[in-house]
Amino acid sequence: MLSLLFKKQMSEIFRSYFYDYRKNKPRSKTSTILWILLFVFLLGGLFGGMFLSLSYSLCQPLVSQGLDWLYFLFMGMIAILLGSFGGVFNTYSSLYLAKDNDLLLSMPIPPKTILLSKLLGVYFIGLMYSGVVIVPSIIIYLIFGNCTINSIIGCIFLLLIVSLVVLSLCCGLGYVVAKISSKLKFKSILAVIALLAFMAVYYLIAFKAEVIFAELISNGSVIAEAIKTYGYPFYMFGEIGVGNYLFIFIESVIVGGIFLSIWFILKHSFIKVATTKASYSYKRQTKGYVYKAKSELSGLLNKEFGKFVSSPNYMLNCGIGLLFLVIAGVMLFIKGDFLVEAFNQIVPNNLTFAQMIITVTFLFILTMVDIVAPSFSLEGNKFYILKTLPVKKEKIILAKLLVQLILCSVPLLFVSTSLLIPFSLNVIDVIFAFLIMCSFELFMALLGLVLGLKYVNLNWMNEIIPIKQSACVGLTLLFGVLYIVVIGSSLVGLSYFVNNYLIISCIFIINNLLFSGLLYLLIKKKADKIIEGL
Amino acid sequence: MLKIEHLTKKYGVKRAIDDLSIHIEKGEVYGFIGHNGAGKTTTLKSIVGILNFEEGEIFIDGRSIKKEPLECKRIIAYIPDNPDLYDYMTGIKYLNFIADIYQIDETTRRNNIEKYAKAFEIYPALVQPIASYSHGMKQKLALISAWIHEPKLIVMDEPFVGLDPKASHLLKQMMKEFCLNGGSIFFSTHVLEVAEKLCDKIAIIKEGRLISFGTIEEVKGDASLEDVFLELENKE
Repeated sequence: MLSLLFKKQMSEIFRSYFYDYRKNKPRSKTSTILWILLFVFLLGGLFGGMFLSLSYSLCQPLVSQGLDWLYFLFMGMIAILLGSFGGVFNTYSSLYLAKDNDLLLSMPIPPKTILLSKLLGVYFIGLMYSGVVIVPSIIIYLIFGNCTINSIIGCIFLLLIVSLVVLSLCCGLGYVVAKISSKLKFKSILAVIALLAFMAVYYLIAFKAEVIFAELISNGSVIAEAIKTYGYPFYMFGEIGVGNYLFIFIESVIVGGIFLSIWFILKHSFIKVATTKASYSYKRQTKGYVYKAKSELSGLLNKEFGKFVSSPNYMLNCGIGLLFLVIAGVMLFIKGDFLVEAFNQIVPNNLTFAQMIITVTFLFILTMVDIVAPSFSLEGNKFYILKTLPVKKEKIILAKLLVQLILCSVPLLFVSTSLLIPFSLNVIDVIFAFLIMCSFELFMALLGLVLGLKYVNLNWMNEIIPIKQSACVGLTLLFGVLYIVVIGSSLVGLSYFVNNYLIISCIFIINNLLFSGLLYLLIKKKADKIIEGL
Repeated sequence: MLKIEHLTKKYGVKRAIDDLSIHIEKGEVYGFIGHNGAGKTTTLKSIVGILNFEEGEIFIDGRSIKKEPLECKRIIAYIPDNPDLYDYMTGIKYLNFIADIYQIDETTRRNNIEKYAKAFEIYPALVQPIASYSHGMKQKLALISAWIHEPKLIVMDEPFVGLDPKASHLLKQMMKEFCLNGGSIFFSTHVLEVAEKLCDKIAIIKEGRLISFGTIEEVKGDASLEDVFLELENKE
């Protein structure tokens, strides 16, 4: 029974390797094998290789100082972090939010068997992610460090203890995520903020990694002393890999005890957890709804904005450019003088050239905003609502376009203004810079619409398919970039000879409007028929 | 109110609807009965403008759904068999969205939303996201959205599925009241008892073709509707 349930759990986790959600049919054997190979390559080859190299650079310097335990502690902590991060969302969805909990509980299966099968799935995922770090570090230690019977036994225990810590953390954190998620009102926006914060921290650490490692190696003994004084359990943890049997025993008892406590709690609360639906924190309102009447277009716009802010996937994949645009604007405010000076050295006395390069850079970032492209596909099986409503197709299209244009308007105004100080521009120049970006944004929105309609797909199971895997989003980005490469670069080239921002701006704006006009004509000719046929 | 004239709808070479004609007058509750895959949903979707059709015409209050779709849709409400609504909206936002599209003034929307949401006992839940609603609650919300803009014709696909007995009873009352005020209802159902008790007229469809229609008495005579339906199904 347990193996059957575990198999089901695994097939759920790895379903995308066997089933093509985009085509809504099982993959061929070749396709499955290729996907699995790609996964193995990415996880084992790429990530594993990365940690193999990291282990190699840390192992010998630390072992030569007699700080083997610090090496294991450092690599163990990375393994726990990666394992927990990789596994916590899996725990959240497979343990606390699983759709099959009701079905399984209605079958003659003991609840603890169901729980155990789900935990085994969580354990496997945690082991996979943490193993990517800990296995290469063990291999490196046994080759370049000390390969003794004690260290081999110690490393085996280290692997087991790390995986158990990851499992315990996943269960605990998964519970916290489930609880928080059920109570939050703006969870999609908070999810985006949390993910962006994580990315920021990740890149910060990645940028500083070299400094951290150098610090660890050069000040190893000082750090080791501090850990021994203030965090003795961490020292014991590091000693596991070396093969210190006393500490292996103590750590096993501690970690085992923690896990058994979690198991005990889960075993007694599983039915409640599995059958409790997310309780929304909204207070049940008995009076005072807002009944403000709005125009048709406002109603449609509200709907489109609602869709955008309700989906972290949509915001992150199709709107991340907005954030990057603001960051670029801030950077220009801070480092603008430095840039102007650098450009001045390359092309002296031609600020137009520098301004155009900066403008085109902003446009490159703007190509990452493709909110319109998947918006028709995202209607999915709810498209019938719009089809039965007495609303013109033009208004539906306009609402979808306006969402992108409105969302872009403020960041574009900001980045246009950011040109003001470093380039000592006048207001007219800033207005023209703004118009270049706005006209380009209009082009991008229309391009997204054309491609979104051309490759519309209303039959998807998961919204990630129209957002991430659809041809329309990829092609919008590609054509946007190509447009900038061809047209933008030509105008940058022209600005090298013509030192007049207004003239170049006018050419750029007219060009953008011309292409937008062509796309508009295409939409006018084809859109009605396509929407009719959906 | 609704005239379906020689409607034919094909999926590839298969005729899902074959030369179907139905007339519904003002104030009538018209039931549409047929086995699974008979063509009921296709017919209903063609009436409300979701599906295009190859032959025939559909007139709503004298206007062609093909030629004047917006004018027709302004006086229709449609409730599908599976109410997939915008999960990311709250109930009240969805109702306000529908009211905005139909340009319902604030007083009317307030009165209608409060009246029907309280009657269906989901008024306090309107603040919650539709994602948290049960199937029955979604069905109730879809029903409210149909009634709030005061249409002339309501088209419903299996409207009683998922409703609790109290809500089913309320819906039946609302349907009767709506038709007494001059509205018309065309709905599909598998529950023959409901059709027998509620409808002024019924139409039975099999493999896209109309096999019987008329008042309940005309169709069933002295037998029960169930017997007649099964007999017709087997005979054809």
